[in-house]
Amino acid sequence: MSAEYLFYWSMAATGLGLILIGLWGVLTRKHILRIALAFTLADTGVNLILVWSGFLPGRSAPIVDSSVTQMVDPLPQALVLTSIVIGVAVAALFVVVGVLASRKSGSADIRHMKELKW
Amino acid sequence: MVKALAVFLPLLGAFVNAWLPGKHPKASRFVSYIILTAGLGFVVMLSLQLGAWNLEDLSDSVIFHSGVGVPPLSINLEITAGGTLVAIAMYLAVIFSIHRFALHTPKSQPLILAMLTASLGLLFATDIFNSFVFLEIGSIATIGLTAASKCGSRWEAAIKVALVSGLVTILYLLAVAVLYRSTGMLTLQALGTLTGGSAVLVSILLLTVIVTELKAFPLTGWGLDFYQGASSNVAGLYSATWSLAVLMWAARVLPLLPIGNPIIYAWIGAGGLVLSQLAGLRAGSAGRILGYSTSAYASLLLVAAGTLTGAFYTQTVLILMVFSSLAKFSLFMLGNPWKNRRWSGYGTILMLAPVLLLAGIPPLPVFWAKFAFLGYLASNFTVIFYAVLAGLFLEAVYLFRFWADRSEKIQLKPFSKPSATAGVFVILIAAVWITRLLWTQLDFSGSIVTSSTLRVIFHVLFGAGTLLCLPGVFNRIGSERNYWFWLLISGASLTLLPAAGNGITFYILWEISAFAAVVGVSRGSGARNGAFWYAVFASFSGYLLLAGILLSRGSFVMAGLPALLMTLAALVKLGQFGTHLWNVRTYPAAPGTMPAYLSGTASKAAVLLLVAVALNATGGALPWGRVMAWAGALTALAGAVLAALAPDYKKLLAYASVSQIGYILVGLGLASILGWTAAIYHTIHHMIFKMALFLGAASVLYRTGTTRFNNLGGLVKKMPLTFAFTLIAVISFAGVPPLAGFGGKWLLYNGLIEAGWLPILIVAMFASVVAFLYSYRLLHGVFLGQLSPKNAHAKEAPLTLLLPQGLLAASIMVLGFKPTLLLNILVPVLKAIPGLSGLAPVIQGDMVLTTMGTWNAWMVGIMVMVVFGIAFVFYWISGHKPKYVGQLDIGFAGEMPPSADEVHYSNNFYRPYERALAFLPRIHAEKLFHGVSKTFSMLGDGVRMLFTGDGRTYLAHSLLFLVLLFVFLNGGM
Repeated sequence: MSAEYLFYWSMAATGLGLILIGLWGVLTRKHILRIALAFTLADTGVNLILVWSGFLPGRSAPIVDSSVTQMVDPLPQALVLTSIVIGVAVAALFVVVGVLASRKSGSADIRHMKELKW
Repeated sequence: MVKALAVFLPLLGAFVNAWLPGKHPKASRFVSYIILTAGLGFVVMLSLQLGAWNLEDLSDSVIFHSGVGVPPLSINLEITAGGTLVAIAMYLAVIFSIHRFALHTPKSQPLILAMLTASLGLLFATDIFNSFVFLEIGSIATIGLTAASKCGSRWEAAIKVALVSGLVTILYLLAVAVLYRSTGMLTLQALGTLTGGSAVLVSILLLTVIVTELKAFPLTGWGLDFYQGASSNVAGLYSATWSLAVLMWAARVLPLLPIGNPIIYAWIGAGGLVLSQLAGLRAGSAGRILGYSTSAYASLLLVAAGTLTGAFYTQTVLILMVFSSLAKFSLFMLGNPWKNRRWSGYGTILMLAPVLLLAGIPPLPVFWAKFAFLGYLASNFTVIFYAVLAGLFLEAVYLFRFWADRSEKIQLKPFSKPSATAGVFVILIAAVWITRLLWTQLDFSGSIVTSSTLRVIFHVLFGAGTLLCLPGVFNRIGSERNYWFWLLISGASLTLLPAAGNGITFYILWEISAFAAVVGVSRGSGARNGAFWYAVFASFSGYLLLAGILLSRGSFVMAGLPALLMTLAALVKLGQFGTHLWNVRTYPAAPGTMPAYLSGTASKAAVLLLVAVALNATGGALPWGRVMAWAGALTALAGAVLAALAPDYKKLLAYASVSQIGYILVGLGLASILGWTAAIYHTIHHMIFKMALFLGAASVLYRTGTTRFNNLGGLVKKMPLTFAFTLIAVISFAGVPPLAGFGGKWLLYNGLIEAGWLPILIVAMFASVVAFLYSYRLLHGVFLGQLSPKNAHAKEAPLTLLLPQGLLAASIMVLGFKPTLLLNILVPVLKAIPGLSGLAPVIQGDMVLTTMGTWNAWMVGIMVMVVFGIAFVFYWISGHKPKYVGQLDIGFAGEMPPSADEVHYSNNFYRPYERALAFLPRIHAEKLFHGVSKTFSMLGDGVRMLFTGDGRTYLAHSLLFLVLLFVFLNGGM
């Protein structure tokens, strides 16, 4: 039982940790692709938290089978699929725009993309 | 089926369009149009079914499930009546703008259609995870559209949107996870069932998401950069679809957040409104200016969400958001109009309607919502009310600068900008529609000015003033444009003004007359600056009036603060010294007969307001009467001095107008029957002679092309009739007995002596002496002396200008010889006003008697005429012949004059007086004013330093906002 709970809480902790690392990366990195990577990390963390929100310790995966009596909430898992798909699309778009923006400004440094301000 | 198609048809179109080969742009455009028209049809059907068009009950709704299970696995939409109206606006925006994309970037059509579906989905979604999906589609479409446009900074704009939407995704999904964990539900209603720590967590996460997405201050930076960087087509489409959808979505979610006391929204909104609009004062590019305006409306939404509830909230938000978005759509769709072709007045209107709408000028739709909303704030949340009012005024300032800077450059042929035209058209139709629905709020019974005689006097004054300006409107010079339409609108609403029976009616007529006149002024050549200053001071005075009306809670005006505010509104409108800056900028710049209308007629609206305030607040006596009288006397003096030193005919008249208005204030400030008689007498008299003078100036300008004294002179030979009429007006306002001006001064001085206000009397008398200086300068500089060779071909003014002048001069004579005609009407009315002190003048035949003395105008007039006649005959017989000297026949010892104009006799005419007065501290109203505007600029610069342009700063803002909210809410709970 305690191992189940350890898993349960470490899942939340990992998710949160990933989000924090991602946000830290987004705020401190200057290279546009690193920022994209940081976003992906944070996204993964968020997805982990989403799965965790429907997770109940000690229950099995929601694959319907005669032996399964108690399973975790399937809904968040379905939602996470959507979120992952969207995440991939957004990440791809981000990278494309980032690459083209860095071509325009001649550098991949986000500090050089400050034409528009005030 | 209808419901599904209304929302998802565009997405279908997007897929079809995406697969069509790029070789056939016409085919893809055709598909888009078919899809969009069908979708619009379905939405209109839904709106009729839900009875949305009377705007009374917008809460009716139908639910739509996608059919596969229950939400959030299926899609669940609740289509509300109000939502269908928003959806119609979105559809129209897309239909009328897609051709611009189809032309240059046909492949962006799928993105536009996807954006439309995302907007509609977000508008109707009831499930928080569904909303997430639509939010993401919307951001992807925005990024894609921005990047697909052909604008230089598109990549930078796109990357900033991408950065922010990345952060929003993270925060939003965290909120979803916490919500599901705590309640097991994902509907919007589930938000309300949250308690404890998870309630706080979800609230701060979603509030940060909402404020970021709304681009409300302080999380505005990315939005500004986006609006500035994206092409105007993309920005326009964005504001009418996606931005509008986010606003409406936020409007639904905000009241549901378990945040405890929603007043926190109002504080964020009100504070943000003031700060962001300060920064907006300094914005340069069109996109950024409109970005700041977006931020203002987002802040207004937050204030509304924090203070209003129920149907009032829904209607207010709907009208504010839909029409402000449409207005921005139209403005963006004008694109870069100053690169365009030939001039037409159509461009001005295209630019003007949205700007006036954003500034909340009646009768455009946003005004109605703002009026009700601000009225509610005034009676329940006073501090927030003042903050919102201040923010809105600042917004009006930069919007009018935006308009003034660009409207001159708009050169369009009719229908050359169909998207913008369509947007403006929708706005105007909606204005008629909403005004029709709210018509019952208006009251034309005239119950504000209780005395029907006074009402009639003002009706006649305004009506006659407008009519006399009309014949001359077609005598335009140079690049002046038609302004008769605006003059007519302004004059008509002014003529109606005395009939107003309640605050809202008075305010509407007041604002229409002011802003129609602003447009009229802007039609002059190089009148940009004059129109801008007029607009700024008119909206300042308008907001003061509005505050006064709203704080009076239903009645027209209450004593105390509301009365003070409305008095100030009138003083600003009159050009009381200190605010006279607009008069001296606007009158000289205004075209043709417009200055005659402004100075002679329109300024009397403020006198009417003062009378109304006095009658309603205190029954006659104006509050702070003595202060006002002092202000009036000093205005009279300062205006007269400045007029004497003015180098320009129209400028001199503008200062003289400021000066003469001072006497009216003194009279009203006296609060005695004599004082009021003098004030109203002088109001009528001022209207007559000032119009005659300004029409004379218009004639001179029309015939010579200039109003500078050192290009004029000697015109008496060329324009004898204009000279005669001007002479009559000048003699009259100088207060020389046979003509009308004497009566006003006599009554006023009587009143001052009666009240014992001798210092004011001395100042007023001294001002009259200075008036002789400028009246002589005026006559001499323009008509006497030698004729400038430049004006050798000048002719007498056209009949359209002469006839009104003749009528005015005739009425000066009539009023001068028979003032009892007017006094017989006026005195009994004023005697009946209980609040006025002192004794009434007694009228016996031609005699007017007061305790101080008697005045028989008829007798005096006859006597003066006889004496004048004898002198004239003597002069005639003596046969004195003057010796003529060439105008430029002047020795100039040892120096080479830079130009002949500088040695002109009229140049620096009163330099000796100027030097004699030099020991006095010069009155630096201009400097003071520049100091104020500089301070505001500096504050604005300070605020906008927040928006550094670095995308990561904006993310940091959002995260900091989140942390602060957390601290605040936990500290508060």
